[in-house]
Amino acid sequence: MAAAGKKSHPRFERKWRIAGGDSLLQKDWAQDTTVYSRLTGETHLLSALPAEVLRMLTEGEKSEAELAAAMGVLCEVTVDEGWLNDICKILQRLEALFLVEPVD
Amino acid sequence: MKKGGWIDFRTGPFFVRLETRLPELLDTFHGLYGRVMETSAAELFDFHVAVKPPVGLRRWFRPQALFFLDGETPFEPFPRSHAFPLLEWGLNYAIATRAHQYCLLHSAVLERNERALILPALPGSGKSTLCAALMHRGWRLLSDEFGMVRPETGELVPLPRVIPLKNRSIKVIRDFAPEAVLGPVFPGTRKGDVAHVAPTTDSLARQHEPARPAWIVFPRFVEGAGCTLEPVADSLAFVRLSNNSFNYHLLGETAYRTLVRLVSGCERYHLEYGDLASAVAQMEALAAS
Repeated sequence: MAAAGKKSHPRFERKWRIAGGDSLLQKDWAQDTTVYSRLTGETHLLSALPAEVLRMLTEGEKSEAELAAAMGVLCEVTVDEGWLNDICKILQRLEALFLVEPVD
Repeated sequence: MKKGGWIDFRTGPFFVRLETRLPELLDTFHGLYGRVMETSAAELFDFHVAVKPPVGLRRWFRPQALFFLDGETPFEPFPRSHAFPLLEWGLNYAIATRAHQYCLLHSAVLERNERALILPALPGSGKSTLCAALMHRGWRLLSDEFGMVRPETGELVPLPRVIPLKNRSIKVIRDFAPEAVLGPVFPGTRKGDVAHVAPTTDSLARQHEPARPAWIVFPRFVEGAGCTLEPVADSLAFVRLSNNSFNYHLLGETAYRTLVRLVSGCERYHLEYGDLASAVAQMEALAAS
């Protein structure tokens, strides 16, 4: 049962976007990526997976399933429930840093 | 000394008016800087500073000195005998808290063959000792304390001032460079015994020439160690420099872009050394490569 005022989603269909619109500056280094957020003024050092999730979201809103599928192709990984949960965890961590936000 | 008890001087890009009537401070100032920095050309000053005795008993009894920046006193009083280090630290404070037209790194910067070496300051790095040694082996001193990066161009702006040496580093540099001009030893300061090395004549004469950054070397002095120079990953260098900067968070996106450009354009190394001669030789080899 959805909490009052909160929209429920079929599993892994929740859509995500970059927080604050065009707010990120990303720089890929040899092994990591630094990201500056105009929204918060903070700088973050990200490893390859979360950096790629951010890059995909800069192209437009995507659902968890869409992200997992695209990341699966890139990483040559089978998209199973474990992989979907990993992508969701990455999104939660990025949300905690105010880098991404759910669309609704 | 002008009438009214002040001198006007230029240090790097900054015009400073110093008000003081302490003769020992002026003697040390002129002994280390000469007259080359004095100017009558300024109409606007970046900093108005003063070093003066306090009002009251401590003017005479165990005399003290106060540093003033634009009329305010950011520090507790120092012993009057430490007036010159107080002036130097006070100017550092003024620059670090106000010169936000630059991205300010806490680092030494020297130049050789039109390429600049950045030595970020970390505890135990031996930065100032290494900086003084390099200066006396033909490197032009841009600064011992501030890597001042102009965000618009990425150039490093010179600010050649005296290099403070602490405790046994004083003797190390006297032995390494007997020709070095050292000021008096100030015993028992908050940082121990301190003496200052004058910038070389060449460094002062060229203090209006910026330099393009070429190397970022994180130095670390380890007693008894050999000398090793190891590459540092670009992302790690970025993180270390952003933490090392005086005003990274204040400048925000400007600082981020400036450091991305800086790190992208430089070779990056970690230098661990146990003796000065080896470290200097290693930097010479880097400059020749």
